Amino acid sequence: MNDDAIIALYEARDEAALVQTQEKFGGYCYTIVYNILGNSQDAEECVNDMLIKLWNAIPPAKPDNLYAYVAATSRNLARNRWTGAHRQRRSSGEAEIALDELVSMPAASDDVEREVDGHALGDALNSFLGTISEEHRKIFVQRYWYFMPVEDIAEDLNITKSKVTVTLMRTRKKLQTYLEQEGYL
Amino acid sequence: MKQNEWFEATSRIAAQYITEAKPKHLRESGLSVDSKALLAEELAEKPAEAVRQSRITRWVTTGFATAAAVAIVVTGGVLISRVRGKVPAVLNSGTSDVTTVQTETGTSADSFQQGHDAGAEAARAAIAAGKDKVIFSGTVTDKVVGIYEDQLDSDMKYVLLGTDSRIIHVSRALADSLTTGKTYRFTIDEQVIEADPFNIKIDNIRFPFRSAEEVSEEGASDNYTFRRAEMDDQAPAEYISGYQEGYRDVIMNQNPEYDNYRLEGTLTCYIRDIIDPELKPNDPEYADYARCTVVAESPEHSSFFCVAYPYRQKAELVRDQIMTFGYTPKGPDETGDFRYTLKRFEDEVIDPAYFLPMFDTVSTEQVKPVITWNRLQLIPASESAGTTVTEGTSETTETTSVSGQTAETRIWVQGDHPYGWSDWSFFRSGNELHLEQLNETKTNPHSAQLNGSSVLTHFQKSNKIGTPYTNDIPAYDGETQFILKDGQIVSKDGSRILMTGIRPAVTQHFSLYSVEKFSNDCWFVRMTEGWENGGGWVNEYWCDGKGRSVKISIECTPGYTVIPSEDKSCVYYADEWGIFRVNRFASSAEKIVDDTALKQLSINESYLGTENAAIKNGIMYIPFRSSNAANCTGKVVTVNLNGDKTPRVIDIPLSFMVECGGRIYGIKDDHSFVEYLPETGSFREVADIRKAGAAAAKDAKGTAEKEYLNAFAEEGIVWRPVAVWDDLVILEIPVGESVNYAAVSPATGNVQLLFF
Repeated sequence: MNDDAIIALYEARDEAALVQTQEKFGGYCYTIVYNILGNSQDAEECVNDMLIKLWNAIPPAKPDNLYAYVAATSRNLARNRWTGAHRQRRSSGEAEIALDELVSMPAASDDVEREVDGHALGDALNSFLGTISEEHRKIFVQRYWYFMPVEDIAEDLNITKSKVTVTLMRTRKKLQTYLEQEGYL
Repeated sequence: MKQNEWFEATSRIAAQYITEAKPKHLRESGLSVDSKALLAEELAEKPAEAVRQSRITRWVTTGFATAAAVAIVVTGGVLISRVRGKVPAVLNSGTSDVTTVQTETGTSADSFQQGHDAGAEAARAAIAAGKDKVIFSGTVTDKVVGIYEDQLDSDMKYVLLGTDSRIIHVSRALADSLTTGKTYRFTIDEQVIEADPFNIKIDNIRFPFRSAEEVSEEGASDNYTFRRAEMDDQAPAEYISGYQEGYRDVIMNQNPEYDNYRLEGTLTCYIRDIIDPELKPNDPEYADYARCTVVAESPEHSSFFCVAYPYRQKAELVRDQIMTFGYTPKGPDETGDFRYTLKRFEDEVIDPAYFLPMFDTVSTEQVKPVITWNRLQLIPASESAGTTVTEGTSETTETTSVSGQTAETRIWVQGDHPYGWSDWSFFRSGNELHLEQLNETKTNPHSAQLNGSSVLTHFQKSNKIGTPYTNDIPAYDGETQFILKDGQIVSKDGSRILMTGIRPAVTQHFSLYSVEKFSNDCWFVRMTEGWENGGGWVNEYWCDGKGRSVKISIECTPGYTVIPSEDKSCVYYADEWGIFRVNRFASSAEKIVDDTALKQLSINESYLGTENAAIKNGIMYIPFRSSNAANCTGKVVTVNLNGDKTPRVIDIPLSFMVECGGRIYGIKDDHSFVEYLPETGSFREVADIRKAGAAAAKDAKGTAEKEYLNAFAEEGIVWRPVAVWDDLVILEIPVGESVNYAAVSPATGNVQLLFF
């Protein structure tokens, strides 16, 4: 079923929308949230929460890109759960490792850092991603948005693990340079 | 910056990039979602009329399928919930005949720790979040006594099957009070959940082998009768044999003690023990490993294997997780059924309650692995013969007519294909040979004749557009062309179903490799199973021609092809671990030559595989090679299959051997096609590939063609036979970067080079 049809089901308050969403996007959502949470039960609940979110959100929301909407919703839910778990030091997902890679990027100063809010940095990230090759962008997004393990990225893109690792390292350096040039760091 | 700031920043990555990077390989999301009840409840709270009136029925059987299990047990009038791992959604609720079953405090608060699982956790979480109860409801469609009185809790006697295949356990008293066809609503509160006793995970069970009356009459028994039942091949079963992991396994082994019977099927059970004693209830793997299967091996293996496997995700299993059960076969009783006394370990009699043979677990694409529980089945040999086979019809390919009177052979080439694999198929009709290739870009095949004498009158190659594993190319059993379609191996015209239940995991792709007809009720089928982007393996199956099949567990890599015995009663394969035999419909191999015996031949450094082997007069000839390619070592292992099976090495400079028309042929010195005469140990040259190339080059019309044929003459090395008929052998000959073929007539010695 295409995305428009699924959205129409939501708008008609037809619970088949949930089934269709689950069938079409459940695997993706599970992958996303599992990568973040590293726990199957949490991930399953998160997917479920996502469905409830969609049910509550559509309508009035009418996403242009349902996949991205569903994926982002899942990720946000997982992030919230991750944040909670993180406080209790119970997180074991890939997000921890991936974010550490980004955190390890040297910054200009603490003062500047505090000036950079997530929104602005997000905009900068998107601008930056537009400057790099599609393959590098995929690797970057898979690692830092999907929080996919390096091995999974390599398998997914049919490249070697070392290529993924090296590409990530170079992309992080480029990103740092870019953020410095743009005045974010 | 801190982690959460980066988290926030990366959350804002644009949708287009998110979509662009959408992963192709997804994690297997496992099974139903524990919090389904929460979702159902939330939805139920919605005031929308549509919600109230509609159902979520398909939740359970589609999106969150298989393991839907809610067990509600009433103990002495006290309802104790068992909110097992996968809680199904509310079904069919809100009708006027809903009856609320009030709950009371459970009796064993401590036992919750034993019975912890995600479902209970979800229910608890709901309660902790302010919900005062969790509600399950469903329509009672059947009441089946599935558990003996003294085998589980003394008061758990009835299993009710809801419309959603959900199982609800209640006491006999409560079950008696429920009416089939009515919808009931069970309310569970915190106390009930806390009172959850040990886990019993029961999902979608049917008890086809016993009626309630039978159980009532027989009562508890150490003996357990496995009655005949239809096998269900609709879904693959997770199984394990040693370290092997698979998707489907039905064990059908010859029973040596009862020659007139054949043991079919798989007894697969859940047991309630937690296999890994180290796992604690709070371990995330706990619920996964709590699910166990018991796979009945054949009598010759003298044991049952109880295995645990992670249910939510495919994962490596380790041998330590296998529990072995013994049993005592007592032979068929007067009804023809087979009785076992199941024993755990050595002497402890297994309570049959542990064995809940399952059948027809809900199968969905969403949930993998899907498990089908087949049952042991004992069939008199006389019943297994004489299967009617629908004759295949003439087929038309894109390029030519294939009459179907001669056999087809498919070859499997690993090479520089963009997917890592190539898929080729030869069809022969009289003296016409057709080669179908998948995604092959080369065109314009040539053929050159040696000494002007054609072996073939026509050779044509056709290209197929598609991807591997989608199986555009049929496999031909000599009568019928079969294709893989919609999880089934069916004839191209759709009139026959050879095999069903082919359901790869998310990332897996299946492709039909070959279909060999052994008899009217036995086909030997090979399928390639691998990943879209390359890599994979070949799995073998027995099919009975009626859609039923048995997967053979062979731990060998592609290339170790399996060869049939002369009477087609079994197949053999060899690798560095030994030489093995797989009887018809057996799921596993029997080692007939141990690897230590092979090592004593001091040929350890050589490559041993049956793809180059031949069997003639009960003697198996397996040439040793110095690598996976031809590379003749001059050593051939022989095994007298009907005798002592002691491997011996004889000096025969052949890189492969093949039985053809009752004679043994081989390639000598990598390019000479010779007949081997076992009686004298001598050879008779039939044809020479390089000479053929040189001769053809003389008559070549174009310079390029001449150069090519000269290269053929100088570099041509026969790798292996790829298609063998009684009067024709097709040899694979790589020249440069191309793979070419030669058609050889063993009778006349005529050679025709087929090149591109």
